Amino acid sequence: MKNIKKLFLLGSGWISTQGYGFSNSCPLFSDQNNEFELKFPPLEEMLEELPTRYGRFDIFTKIVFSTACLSLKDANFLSKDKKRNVGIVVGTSYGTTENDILFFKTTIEKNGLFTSPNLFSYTLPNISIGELAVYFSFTGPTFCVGNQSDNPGIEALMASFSILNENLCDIVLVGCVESNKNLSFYGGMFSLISTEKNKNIKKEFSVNETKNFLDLFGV
Amino acid sequence: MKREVFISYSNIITGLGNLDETWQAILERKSSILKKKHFENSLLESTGLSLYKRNFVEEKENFAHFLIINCLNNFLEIPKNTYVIWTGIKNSAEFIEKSLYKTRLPQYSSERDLLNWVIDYLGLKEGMEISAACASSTVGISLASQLIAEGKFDNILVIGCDFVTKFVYYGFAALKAMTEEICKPFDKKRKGLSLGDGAFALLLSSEKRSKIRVSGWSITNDANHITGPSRTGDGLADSIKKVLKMSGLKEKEIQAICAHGTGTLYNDAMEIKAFNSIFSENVPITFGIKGSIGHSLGAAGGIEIALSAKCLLEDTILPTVGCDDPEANYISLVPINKKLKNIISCNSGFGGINASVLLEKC
Repeated sequence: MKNIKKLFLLGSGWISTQGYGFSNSCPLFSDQNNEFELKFPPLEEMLEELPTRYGRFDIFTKIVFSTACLSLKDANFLSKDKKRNVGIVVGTSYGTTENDILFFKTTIEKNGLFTSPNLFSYTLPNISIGELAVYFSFTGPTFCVGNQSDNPGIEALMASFSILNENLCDIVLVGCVESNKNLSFYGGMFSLISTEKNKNIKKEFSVNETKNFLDLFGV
Repeated sequence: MKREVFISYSNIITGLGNLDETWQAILERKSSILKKKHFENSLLESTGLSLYKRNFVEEKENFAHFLIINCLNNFLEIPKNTYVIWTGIKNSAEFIEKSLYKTRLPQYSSERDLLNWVIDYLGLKEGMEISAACASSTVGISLASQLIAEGKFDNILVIGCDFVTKFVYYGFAALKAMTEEICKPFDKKRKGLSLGDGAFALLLSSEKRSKIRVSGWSITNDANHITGPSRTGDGLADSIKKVLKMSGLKEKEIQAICAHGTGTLYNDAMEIKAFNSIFSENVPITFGIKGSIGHSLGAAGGIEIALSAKCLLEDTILPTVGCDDPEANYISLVPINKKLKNIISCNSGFGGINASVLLEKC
């Protein structure tokens, strides 16, 4: 066990109805989401190729994947050539609820004859993490967390610090995502954090003093 | 300084009953999986399901509450400073189904609602939920062990349930992952999984109140496919290697493995590849329990870890019920009495996740 006190931010990204950005910007979220659509970044310009299943992603997976790509781009970490011991932790309160309902509607007609195996595949929030792990060859610990209220980012950060502390991985991609339009936090925020310095670090931060995702953005 | 972590107390609920009842029934090679046409559906003629006291639950009642109340019945007194980690994954399906069929609604039960309900029910204060598909409770127990080891909490209750719903039934049927028979883990003629109701509760503590110590844990990802297991078994092998490294034990010292063993062609083949690659000619005696109680998704790992702890306490390795013609010669077919010092329990799930825990008797 390392007994980590300091960590290094390699990059961050966010997506909302107000736009998208990196670690040097302030994430903007709105209470009026029903009037706007999420502003996704042009992934086809950022990546060598889109994931093979990209067109089938549910909305939750699309937000997770796109926001994570922003933070990886910010960290100059978009390469996908070899397996890397990177963990992924995502905080979410409502997860894949929208997709769950879409899936269940496909089971109703003719006693389930038209049940969609593709929609069923996306009825767990950690599937979105699986898509990231497959695309970027990340082999570290991967799971989703939630908490008692609407701020699961606190638990996502706690779990991330903990798996880094135990050396279960060297770097963690940690995020917080909601795909429910009725929430003021509709969209995602991700950060890539490491136990070791490299030339891309954006800032050094204290484990004990960092409870909130916004602490990992630059303003 | 890393602290030791102990399993202070545990209980489970399965189609065979509580921990002691389930233990005894598996020793007797019994199964609670019933084969019939459970739902009107166009996908499967029949299937095997393991159900727990469904006739005792009214439609408006929340079945997750029913399972957890039964699981906590006669449970050890839980310290007031206990943190809760909830690891059920698809309990919201009950509400979604009953909403769309316009029947009487139970209280809404997302995993977060169930976390809050457990905290209130036990008079505790705080907790979190973990979603990692069918490895959720093993991931939860791994994270709980880590948080206790580093001194963040003294006691953590890892708890969860999952149960058979049409939502899950149709989903696995559409993926062609279910057998029309009763599942046969690690059997050469296995054709798929059987679902089952299940709940578990494990109290992990820094204080030694039992003989069972959690001496290793790890979580890895295959980075291979979102619903299919890796064909090479690399991710699971990596997870077990990390558990061995953390515990300081060598491959040849491991005495038993409680495998995920869903009874699907690819999962069981992947596990056998992983075990063979790590232990080569000396794979420990390995068993799976899903032929007795079915697959209870997010609760499966917790149930298996509770039964693994009992294997250590009773110096007995369980039989693999449903397996008659094993794919590997180290699969246990009958109960084996043996002085046990350690056991590995491992699970894998959608999203490419693998998690392993090593228990030692101390």
